[in-house]
Amino acid sequence: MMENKEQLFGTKARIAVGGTHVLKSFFNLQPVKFWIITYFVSFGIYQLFNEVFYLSTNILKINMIVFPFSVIIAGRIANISYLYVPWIYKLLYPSYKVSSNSSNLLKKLIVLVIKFYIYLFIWHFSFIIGTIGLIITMIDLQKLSK
Amino acid sequence: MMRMIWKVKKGNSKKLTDILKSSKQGDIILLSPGEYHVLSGINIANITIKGIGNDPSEVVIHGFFSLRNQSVLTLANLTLYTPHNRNTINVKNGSTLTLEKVIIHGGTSGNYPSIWCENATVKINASEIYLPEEKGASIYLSNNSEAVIRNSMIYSIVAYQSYIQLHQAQVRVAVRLMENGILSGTGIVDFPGVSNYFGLYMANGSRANFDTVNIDENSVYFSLDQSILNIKKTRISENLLLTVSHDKQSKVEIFGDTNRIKINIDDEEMPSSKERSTSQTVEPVSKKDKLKEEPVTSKEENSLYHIEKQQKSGLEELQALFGLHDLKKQIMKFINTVKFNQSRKEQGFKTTSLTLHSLFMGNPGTGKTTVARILGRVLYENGVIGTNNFVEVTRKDLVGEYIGQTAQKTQEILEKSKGGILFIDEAYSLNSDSKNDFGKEAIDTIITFMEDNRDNTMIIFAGYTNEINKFLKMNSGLESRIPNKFYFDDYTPEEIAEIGYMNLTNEDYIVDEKKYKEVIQRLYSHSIDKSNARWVRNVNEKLIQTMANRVVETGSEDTQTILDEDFDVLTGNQNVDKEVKVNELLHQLDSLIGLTEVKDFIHRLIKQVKVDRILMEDGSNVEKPSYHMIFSGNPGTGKTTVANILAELFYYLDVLPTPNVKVVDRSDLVGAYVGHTEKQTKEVIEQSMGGVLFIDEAYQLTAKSGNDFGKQAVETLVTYLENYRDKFIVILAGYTKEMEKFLETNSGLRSRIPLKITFPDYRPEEIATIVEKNITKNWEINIPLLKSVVKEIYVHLPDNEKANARWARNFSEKLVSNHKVWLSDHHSTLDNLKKIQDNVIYEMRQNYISTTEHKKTIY
Repeated sequence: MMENKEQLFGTKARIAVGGTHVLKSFFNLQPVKFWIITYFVSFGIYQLFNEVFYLSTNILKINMIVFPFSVIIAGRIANISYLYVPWIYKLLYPSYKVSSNSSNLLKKLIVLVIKFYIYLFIWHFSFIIGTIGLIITMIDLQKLSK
Repeated sequence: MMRMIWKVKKGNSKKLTDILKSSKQGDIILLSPGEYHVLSGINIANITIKGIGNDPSEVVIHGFFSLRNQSVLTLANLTLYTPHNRNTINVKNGSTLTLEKVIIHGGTSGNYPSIWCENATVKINASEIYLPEEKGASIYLSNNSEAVIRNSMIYSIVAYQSYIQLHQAQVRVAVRLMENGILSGTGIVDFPGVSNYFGLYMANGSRANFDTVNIDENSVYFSLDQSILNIKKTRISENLLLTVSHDKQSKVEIFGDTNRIKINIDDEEMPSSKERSTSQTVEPVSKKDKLKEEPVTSKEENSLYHIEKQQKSGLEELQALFGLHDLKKQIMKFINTVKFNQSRKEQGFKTTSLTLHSLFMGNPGTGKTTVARILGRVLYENGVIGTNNFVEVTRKDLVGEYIGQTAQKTQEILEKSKGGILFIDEAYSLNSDSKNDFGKEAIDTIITFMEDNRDNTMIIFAGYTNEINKFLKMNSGLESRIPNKFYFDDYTPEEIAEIGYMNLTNEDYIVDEKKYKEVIQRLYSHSIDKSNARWVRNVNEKLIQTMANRVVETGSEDTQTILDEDFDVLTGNQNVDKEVKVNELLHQLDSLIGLTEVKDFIHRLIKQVKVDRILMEDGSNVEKPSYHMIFSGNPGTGKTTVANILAELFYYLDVLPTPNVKVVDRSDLVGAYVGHTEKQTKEVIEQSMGGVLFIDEAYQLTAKSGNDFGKQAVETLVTYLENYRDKFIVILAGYTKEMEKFLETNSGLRSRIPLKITFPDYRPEEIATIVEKNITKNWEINIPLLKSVVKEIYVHLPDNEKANARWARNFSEKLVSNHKVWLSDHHSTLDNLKKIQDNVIYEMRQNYISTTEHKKTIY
């Protein structure tokens, strides 16, 4: 009689996991499009505004690298407030698209401008916010890989 | 653009529901260990739900999901419990379901596959899909669906025109491939053969290829009909057999342990019963028409996808009714006769005109109106009646207030229902003994109409069986004009519990099925209310009210789950540990003075009751025990006190639904004129239902000779003793000799009252102890003196005055009264108020002795 059927069939079955699985999972937490756009924006801000921010070159470089993780935090706050404080969602959610319900062009433009300044601010403090975002993402990954 | 990772804290079902509704494509929901309820049914759009416990069993979701329009749902590391009569996950239209380390417990009926898949894909990895009933299917695939199952255990899978890939999988019950179904088995596929069904059943051009088939627990049977089976390798344990039966159009190629493989072609030798050592039978698993997709009831789902509900045919609706098996057969017979007549008519043959008028007889809540409506639809759908018009009336709709109005009113109703169905509820109420009643006029009008429209209009007379039979005798022409009689039996407690459970779950309440059914069955068994489904509906309403009250008072957010404490409030047992209560009551019994034999008897009885209850719960085939009893003994020996304790004991032992004791005597049962006694006795009995009826001095019922009405009371009582033995307990009390004579007056009495307890007279020492207990509750006294005086007095009392505990109570009251007089006469200080002086006791002694002496002198 076949032994250890529990370990062959069912929730206790041993499934082989590849070595690259964890790293792949890390980046799989967000779609490829997210990483491309956020790094593109981050690089753009670095190039255009590095002289505006009074930060050391190292901090600026760190900001550029960890900015996507700051966006993850901003997106998370936006999503949490979606049901309860919708205006926070509108201003914070990482998307250049403005709600289709809004027919007023000027209003759309104002929202975009405010959002732009908010994200400049977020970029400026990404060495803090982004680091927190990175830690949170790693915790998420740990939970997901259970 | 961004993928959101939501986290839901332990058991926060509302948050989970909110997140599911507001989640966007690609979102991930992480669930902390706990239980979550999402019973309203959620349509999913590309999300992942993952439990973050250490084991799938730590995160439990009670609910069901729908996937439509190429949606994707991934579930991981969690357990799903399906509500009653639903699919756990319904996947359609190009959607994809992925399960990773998931346990699914399907609905209890077995009729609803856990996963219903139409033109969609299911990927299952390291998961377990259970179904409590072998007859059902864990996974149902149709319409070019695909299932990829790896490292998983499933109960059964059915595939119509669909593809199954099994890799390292275990099929506990069966695989059924139909209509070009394809199965590809790689790695090891294990068939434990735990059921009586074919492990593999293939038909109509289906194909199956296995790398390795493992059979090491039971012998397994495969069956093929116009199909192809290819097994490259078999691993079959010693003494086990793989038997494959196939027709000539099928092709079978099996390699491996050929000596343990048996292949039968068509009518060739089938495996003998001896060979079927594991009691295999050859029925195919789950016929397609028996499996059901979930009912689409979610408002959200309807609004999103505008699914059109197809109305069931009348016949389907009839078959879908719960229970009523005999009735369904009767109705089907009737419908077949009607159909037969119709087809003869269509073929141009002569037909005997079939009278449609019917009697529906049974108690309330047995489905008479529902069946009548359905029957109307069936007849309409088969062209027997011209319209689907259903008119439901009662006496008040037919009978007028003055002469001439009734015929007009009735005629109007009859015209309205012409060509359809007229349902007269409680038709017997048209019957009245009064000559001035207009009910008769209504009947006469109906009879005329019935004769003229017997094959195009159906008139249904509904009501209680006995009353309807009396009603038929009211008019000689009535019975002959209503040839169809349908009997609606009462539902059994099990059926009532099932109906109630289905009603609750259909209204999206979550309830512990086992607990609910247990409580409902117990309550219904003790209830004398025979309103069947209506009874359980009322109980459900009470239960929901109780739950609503709790939810509002505690501020709970969970408006779906009915808790055990709600049941306790409903049954009046909140915060009560029954076992503790029983022990307390037994202690109370033991602390009664004397009555040693009575106590022993009751201790033994309680042990028997406990075992009886276990046997009943176990479903053992034991007769319902009868606990009616006789208490014989002189007055004041503690019969009423013991009866009260017994009633409470039976209540806490779940033998009786209430702890009430109704104490009556002859005057409460026996009436003053003919017919009065029966009515009065019935009333008393019905008031005591659910508790104990204590008939004091019961022998007096037959004490008088001649045409005494007491005998009628006994006869009425005897009927109830037998028919309602599990619904109440009767205790007949009286003097020992008189009770013996009483039992001889009616032969049915003795056999129906199996238990007898004799209450002996108290001994003088015991009387003294009772007096001491009575007095020392509130007063101080010289106890040795009191006890010796009481003993002395009681010994010297004439026999007719020895009223046991009642004498002790009177003596105690008199002593206290004398003490108060003494206090008043001696202007006693406050310090001495509580102390009964020895002089008072001596005075009592003197009074009693002199009174006794005086009586002796007189006599």
